[in-house]
Amino acid sequence: MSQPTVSKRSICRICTNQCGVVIDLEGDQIVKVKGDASHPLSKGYTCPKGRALGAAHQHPAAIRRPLIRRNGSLVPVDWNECLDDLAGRLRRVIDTHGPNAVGFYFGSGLGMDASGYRMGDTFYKSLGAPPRFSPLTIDGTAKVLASSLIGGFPGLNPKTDNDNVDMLLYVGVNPMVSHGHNTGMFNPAVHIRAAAKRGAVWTIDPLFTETARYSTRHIAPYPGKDYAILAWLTREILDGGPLNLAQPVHGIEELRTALAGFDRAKAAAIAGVSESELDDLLAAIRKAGHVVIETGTGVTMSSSANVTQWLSWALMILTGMMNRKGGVWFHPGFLIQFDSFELPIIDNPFSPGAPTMPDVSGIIGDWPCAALPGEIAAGNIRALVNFGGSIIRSFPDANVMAPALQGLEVNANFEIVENETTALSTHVLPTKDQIERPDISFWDTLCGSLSMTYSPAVVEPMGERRSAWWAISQLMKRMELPVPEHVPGDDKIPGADDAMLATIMAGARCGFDELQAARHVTKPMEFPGRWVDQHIERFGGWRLAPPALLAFFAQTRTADEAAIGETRPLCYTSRRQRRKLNASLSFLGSPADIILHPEDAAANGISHGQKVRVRTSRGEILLTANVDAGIRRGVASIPHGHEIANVNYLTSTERVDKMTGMVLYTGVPIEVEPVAA
Amino acid sequence: MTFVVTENCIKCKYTDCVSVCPVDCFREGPNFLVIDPDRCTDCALCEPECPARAIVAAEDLTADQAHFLALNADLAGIWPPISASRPPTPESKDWDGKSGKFSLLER
Repeated sequence: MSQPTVSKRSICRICTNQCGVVIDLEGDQIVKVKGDASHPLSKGYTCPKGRALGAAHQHPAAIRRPLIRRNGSLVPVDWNECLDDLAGRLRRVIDTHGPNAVGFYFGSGLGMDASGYRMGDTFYKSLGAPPRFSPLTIDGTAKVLASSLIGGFPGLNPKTDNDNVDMLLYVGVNPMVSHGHNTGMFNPAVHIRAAAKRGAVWTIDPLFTETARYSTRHIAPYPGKDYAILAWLTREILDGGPLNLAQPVHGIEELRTALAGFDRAKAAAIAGVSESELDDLLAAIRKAGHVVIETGTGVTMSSSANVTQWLSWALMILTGMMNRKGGVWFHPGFLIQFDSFELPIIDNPFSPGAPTMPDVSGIIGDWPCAALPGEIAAGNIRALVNFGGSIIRSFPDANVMAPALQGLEVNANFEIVENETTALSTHVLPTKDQIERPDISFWDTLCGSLSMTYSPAVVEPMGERRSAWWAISQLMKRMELPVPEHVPGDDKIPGADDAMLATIMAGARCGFDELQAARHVTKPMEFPGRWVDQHIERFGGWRLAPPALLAFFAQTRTADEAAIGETRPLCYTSRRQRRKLNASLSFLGSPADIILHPEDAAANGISHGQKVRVRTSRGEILLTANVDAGIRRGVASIPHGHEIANVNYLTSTERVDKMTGMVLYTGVPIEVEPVAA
Repeated sequence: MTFVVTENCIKCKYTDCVSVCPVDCFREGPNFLVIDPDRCTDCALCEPECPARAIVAAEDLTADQAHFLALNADLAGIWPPISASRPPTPESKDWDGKSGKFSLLER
């Protein structure tokens, strides 16, 4: 006899949006996940990824017990044995080689586990400042860079005023699938269509994306050359308006000088678009009197990321859209209240980097992910603590990454589903997944509102899974590292998980008890935020012409102007898929395909549906041809995160942005050929 | 606003749309699906899923399709919900794109 269905409300923690969901359970089996219509923000919306929470939880390869490598195989052990062994090995590495021989990767797995992430950070800091890696240098450093150099603080993250925007330009971002790049956007179609109705939405992307479909116009430039469009627009705005400064600015003449001579013909030739498209876009901006620009990984993963991001900010600053209605707003923080104190001026985001990559600095404390295999090979990093990252599927050059991981003395993974990275581990620590633990919306400033959400655990942890904070604190105790006094000794004590969350909310805009009772708390937000304008005034105005970016632009422009008229090689761009989340949710069946323009397919003897060998100087993978006129000629699109057809067999640890260490995942030349059936 | 299932769904009824709907707003008849406009969140996730391109935003309905708005609302009040996709029938593809199917709608 089947058990009665029980519905429980929770929040999806697949992305930082955190839509409300209703999970239907029969016993401990999840039978259905749907949107929570009573959630005040998401109002019933969830994407296919959120609806897959049940299948993710019940994954056939779910890890239920700690594992240790013995005689070449991973074998299940109990927690004490796993933690004792791991602590002993880490301690020996530290005693012999120093704490800097331990590297940490703050992956997205524990990244969405508020108390786990916080305890991981405590562990990391207790060792001083050992090598630290995060998705920043494989996702997008340009945003932090632009925020620091132009706005004097690395954490200024402009978010579109979706209720009022009437001239919106999406550059290399597909919010219909991604829900924005760290901007937080529920039900994107509603917002995009509404903005298009109020005025215009333009999408700049080599591919006719799901977002382009709902946009007013679409322009398809060559990857990494979208900066040329923005550079020309900026020069035109400077010369002929609309110029409408909302805050003080610095460097306007230097910007004008840098852009001198960057005319429409040049911009069109470099970007690979028509001059009439540029005219139409400029006319649309002039008609509106302003422009809001959102960028995504199509920009941040390209070689011109830093200048494209800079120019997107410049255009918004020049047309008065920063911190203004109909423009963009900046999140004042819920857990830390940025509007309650004088924001410090931090206009240098750079930090010490990896010794084996001396020409690339670190950024806000992170080392470039591309440096990891070299650091291991050099014997600098001998142990790796991986907080929930699928390293082989997400770091560049899997050809060298996999052997490098095998060379580690300790390779400890906090992970819940077996994958090719856990297969190389010395220790695997399965911690509670998102519906097994209570949680809060920890990445508050990446949300689309001034709000905080709480969800209790929905099901009991499977097997022997424990709270991540508990596992890390137990590891620290065994290594004789100081564990904060507030950390409970046992996660099985009723309320222990909640107590950990409560400490995170010590300085928040509401107390934990209030949040726990209400589940969701939204606070009124001052907009325009005085704290932003005051910060910019203290900074002496937005810096429109940071010398480092002027130099980057000059170099980029010189090279591209010299190459006008030359034949460009076929190159690929990366994309996220609707039924896949980077390295996870493969079971939803999104294909490992390569989108090719019909003429490129024909030129290479490739038919739709055929297997294609894709090759770079680093390696090759097999993908299925998806011949589609929606992509521009000369460009292919490859999804990231597939296991066998791992795009990181094509990427390189050497193709990185020298300024920020960001890996280049778009605009990379490829060769394609059909594979005989 | 809402999305609306239009004529080309008749006798095709692929049901690909159903699995992506976050609020289970599809309703199933003998040879046609409809969207319950009171539940639809206008998220557009279903629209590109339809192999028959039969799902249209209410505001984008052509004059010929306009009557499907009321039809969806009416039938949604009668037909049972469907919340899981099914494989297409052998006939689905045969009927995809055929004109004049409205008279074949079974209620």
